[in-house]
Amino acid sequence: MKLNGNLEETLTRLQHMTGCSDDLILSRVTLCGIPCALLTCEGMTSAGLLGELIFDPLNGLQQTFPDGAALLRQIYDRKLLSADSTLTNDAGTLLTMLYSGFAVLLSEGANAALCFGIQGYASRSISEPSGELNIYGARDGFSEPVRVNMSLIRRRMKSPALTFSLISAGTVSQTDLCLCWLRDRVPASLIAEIRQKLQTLPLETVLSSGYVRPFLEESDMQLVHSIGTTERPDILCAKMLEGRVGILIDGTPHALVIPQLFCETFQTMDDYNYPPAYATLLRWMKYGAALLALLLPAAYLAAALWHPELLHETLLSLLTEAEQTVPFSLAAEMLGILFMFETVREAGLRLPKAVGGAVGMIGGLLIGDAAVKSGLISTPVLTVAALSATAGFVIPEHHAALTVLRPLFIFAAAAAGIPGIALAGMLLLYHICGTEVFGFPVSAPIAPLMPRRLQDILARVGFRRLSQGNFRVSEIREQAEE
Amino acid sequence: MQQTTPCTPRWSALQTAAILLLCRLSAFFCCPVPYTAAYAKGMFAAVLVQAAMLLPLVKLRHLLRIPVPALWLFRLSALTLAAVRTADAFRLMKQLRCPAPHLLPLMFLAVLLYTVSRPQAATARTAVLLLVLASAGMLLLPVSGLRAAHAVSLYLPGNAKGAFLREFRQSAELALLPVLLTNQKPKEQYAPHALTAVCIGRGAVLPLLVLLGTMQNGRLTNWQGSPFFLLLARTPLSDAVRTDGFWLLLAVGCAVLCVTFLLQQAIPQTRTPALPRLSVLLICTGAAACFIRTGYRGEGLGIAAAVTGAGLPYLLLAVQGISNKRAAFRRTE
Amino acid sequence: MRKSILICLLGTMLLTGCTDIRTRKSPDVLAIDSGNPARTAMHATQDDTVITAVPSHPLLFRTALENAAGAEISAGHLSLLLLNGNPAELLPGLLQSQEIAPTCKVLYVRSDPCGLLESGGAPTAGQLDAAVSTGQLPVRTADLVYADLSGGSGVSALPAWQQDTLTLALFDAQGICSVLTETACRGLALLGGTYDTFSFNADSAPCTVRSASLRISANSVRGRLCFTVSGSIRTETSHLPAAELLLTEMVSEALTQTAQDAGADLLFLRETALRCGISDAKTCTQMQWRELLKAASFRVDLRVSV
Repeated sequence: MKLNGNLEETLTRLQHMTGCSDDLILSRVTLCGIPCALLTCEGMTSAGLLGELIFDPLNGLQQTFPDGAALLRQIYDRKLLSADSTLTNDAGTLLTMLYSGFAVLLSEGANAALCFGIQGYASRSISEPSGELNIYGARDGFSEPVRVNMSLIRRRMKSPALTFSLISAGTVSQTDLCLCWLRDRVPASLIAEIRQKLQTLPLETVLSSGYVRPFLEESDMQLVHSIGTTERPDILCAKMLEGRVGILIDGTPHALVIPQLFCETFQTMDDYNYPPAYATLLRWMKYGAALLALLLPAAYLAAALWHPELLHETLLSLLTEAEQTVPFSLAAEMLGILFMFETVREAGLRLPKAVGGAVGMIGGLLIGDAAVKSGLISTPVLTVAALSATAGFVIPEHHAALTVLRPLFIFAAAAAGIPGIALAGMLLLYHICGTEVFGFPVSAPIAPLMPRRLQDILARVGFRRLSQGNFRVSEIREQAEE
Repeated sequence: MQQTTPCTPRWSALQTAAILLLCRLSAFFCCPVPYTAAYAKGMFAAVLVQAAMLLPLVKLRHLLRIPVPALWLFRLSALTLAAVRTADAFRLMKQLRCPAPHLLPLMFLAVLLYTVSRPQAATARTAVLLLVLASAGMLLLPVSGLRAAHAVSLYLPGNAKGAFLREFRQSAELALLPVLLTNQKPKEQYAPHALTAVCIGRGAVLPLLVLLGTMQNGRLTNWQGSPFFLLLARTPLSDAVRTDGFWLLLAVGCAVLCVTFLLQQAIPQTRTPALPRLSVLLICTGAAACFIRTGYRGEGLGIAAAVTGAGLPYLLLAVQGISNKRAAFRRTE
Repeated sequence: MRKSILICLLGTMLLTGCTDIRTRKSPDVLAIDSGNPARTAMHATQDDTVITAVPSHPLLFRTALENAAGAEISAGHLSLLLLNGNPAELLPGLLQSQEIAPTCKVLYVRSDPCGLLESGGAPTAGQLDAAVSTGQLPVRTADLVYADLSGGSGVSALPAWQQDTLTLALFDAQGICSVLTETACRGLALLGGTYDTFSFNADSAPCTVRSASLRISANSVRGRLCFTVSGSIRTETSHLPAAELLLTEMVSEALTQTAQDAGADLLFLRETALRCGISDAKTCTQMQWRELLKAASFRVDLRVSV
């Protein structure tokens, strides 16, 4: 709806459009003899800035103007009241600006409104991300306001090639999404593809990164994410340097990174702070942990049920002895323990921190100990399940996938032993190798094989070698498309 | 006649080589013929002959246009080979006393249903991953195997001619090379690179493995089963650290990959509707079941497919050459 | 489509027939009596008990034992197989059907192996290992026995339990051929080189073999095969001539009692002959090779040093 020059009518329409919402603050004022109105949203603007940048300069205006349009044009053209000011003649845009923390000045006779960016809403201060802790890296993490997050990135990259592009998503919420990339490292076609997908998001609101990700990925059934998330600006900067695209979402401290390769989920910022030998060791430990987390329960089951010759005699006799008093089958026992573990974990996660820790303690120690003592579960199975679960924590990125895949592998192992695991493994391999995002295969750089890139996968070589021939993810797309 | 040059998906040299090598490896795992030095010799000779036959084809691949009926012939041979390889895999699992003999084929079928539905690029990428795993395993094998090897076993009598023919039969996937070559990336050197990698893998690594197995298995030439798994079971290290499990995983993985690849060649569209996929799968497993029941090992079919693969492209090239010359002659008239 | 595949997969997996490990029995020693009627017995490691059964055929021991024990039998950890029948009849079936591991040790007990196991008087796998380790016997696992039966001259050697001592017995397709002396057994162990320590008394002086490098070569002299065992042995002894004499005697005895007397090819003699270009070895049948071995001459040329 376009604005007309009638102030009263415009105000009435706006009040009608907002349903006379109580958070809309209307201040009527006469400037240079022309009736004006200043609109703000409760709690979204800074009172100090409002007084300092708007009220004081406007009150000091001494000139005379033929109409409101001339007044607004003069203020807009000659007065630098706010770094972020714009003129709009659309009521919808006006409301969006208003609810984004802008102050809106309407004037009699002007068919446009002047918006000043003086946002001052309360937000969480920048703090260390709770999900991606590291020892040597920076301690600041993304916060909820998108503009704060943009500044965190800009502070680390003063390059003019760094580009931010704001897109509005969510038909109701009109959430700000910010695409960020380095122009000289990302092909324009990729940006266009992403932008097109973001602009056509069939969502009413975007409340977290999880709302956007499925629409950018190829399939809803993906177990391995081809789009990563990070809470850390330093990580996003590192990813952008490799030619990736970041998406900041207003209201969430998680940025999306396009694309995310499967191998990268094993990398952390600290890897690049440790000596290469130690970092390499850590990386292999993570690969081992991932295999343990996924395959240990299944392998144990397959060996115990179908291939006892694979277990050492002593271990086999220990296992058989431990199982004597347990009333459940080995597969049911394993699945039960893993289910209990997930339940306790979920309970600990959702409860207040003070209680959550206690729940974990009670679940882990008391229930586990009591279950073993009462003969409901056996110690070897509990040990295997606990080892697998603990190993899974080494790669939190894959926790969801592991939780889904573990039972699948357990079923396969219980049904058909090692060949069953092999079949389930092939399913997973095909799933991973068939996953692509915007033409990037997530299984790269192993498949398609890019030997030069394995220096940061099979090992973490020193920075001198890493910095030679800087890696760009576009190489992967080129190789896949060639 | 309608002619076709399928152009999607395009695989790199390594991906093509990985697929062909893993198909051969799958047949190698399942082959119940005991290892002898003559086996390795015959195998090596066959690879040399195959390389000599394929090299001109690689050079002339740009000229090759596959007519639709020939394409259907290739598809039929792919489907037949898929049935042969499925039967081989089931035989191996049965011989290794794998658990759940009735459930395993069902699971195999279900997995194939999923893998065949994935894009062909997934097969190529999975092949590279599996090849990396297999190579790592192959590196460890001699370390553990050589300790109990008897070099004198290399003098065990064997049949090199039989091994030569068997190698042809077991590398029948090469019959699909004409189709694969046209799928190659446009880069000129990829096809020769792929062929070189296949020849090195099959001509050097596998014969060496056979020689190692000969030294390790010794006189157990009457063994009716996979000599490769016999080699594993007799490897001294396997008493403490069992490596059989890893190779069993890999054998099943290779079988799935090989059959998936062949079925995808039989139904090349990447987004084929579920029903044709399912029917092709059922035909494949039905034929495999018949092979198992009748004890047929696919000798004739394998040789027919190999001959088709080696001969048909040349025939096509010759026919196309003659027709081109005739057309040119008519134009000059 | 994907959902249907998942449902199909989970459905098939849920149809699982998991075994119950609680009732599974895992034998470490198994005895098979091929008499009439056949009998079988196993020592279960879990509860240290001996279970006996009467199978309709010796190769059907597993079913009979499972019925008797009321539990599944997993022979994956079987370390010793006692038998009194002809290994040429039993071992191929047991190995091909994967009832026993190729590296399982086999011991011949002339009469009633099941009774021996029940009475607790049977030797253990550890005793066999100790005999191999000290050079009393060569390594003779099931696969090696089977290999010699199916290749070479069709004669194989099997550890035998005779009068409470371990020795070696020679078998062919018809049954037992002969039993080797202790000296011949030691000679075979020396030639096999699978011992950890090889000690003996030479003229009452202790002697230990520190290292041995032995090689067999073959040639044909006027149609007659001639095998020569040559090489050097380093010993630790104070009485070298006696040690040299004894070691030569051991090797000679081993060759005489196995190859010359019984026509047994336990030392890759056929392959050695082929290596040395004797073409007869390639074309002849097992029986012919056995006769050729019986007619062959053997020479031992050892250099023993301290």
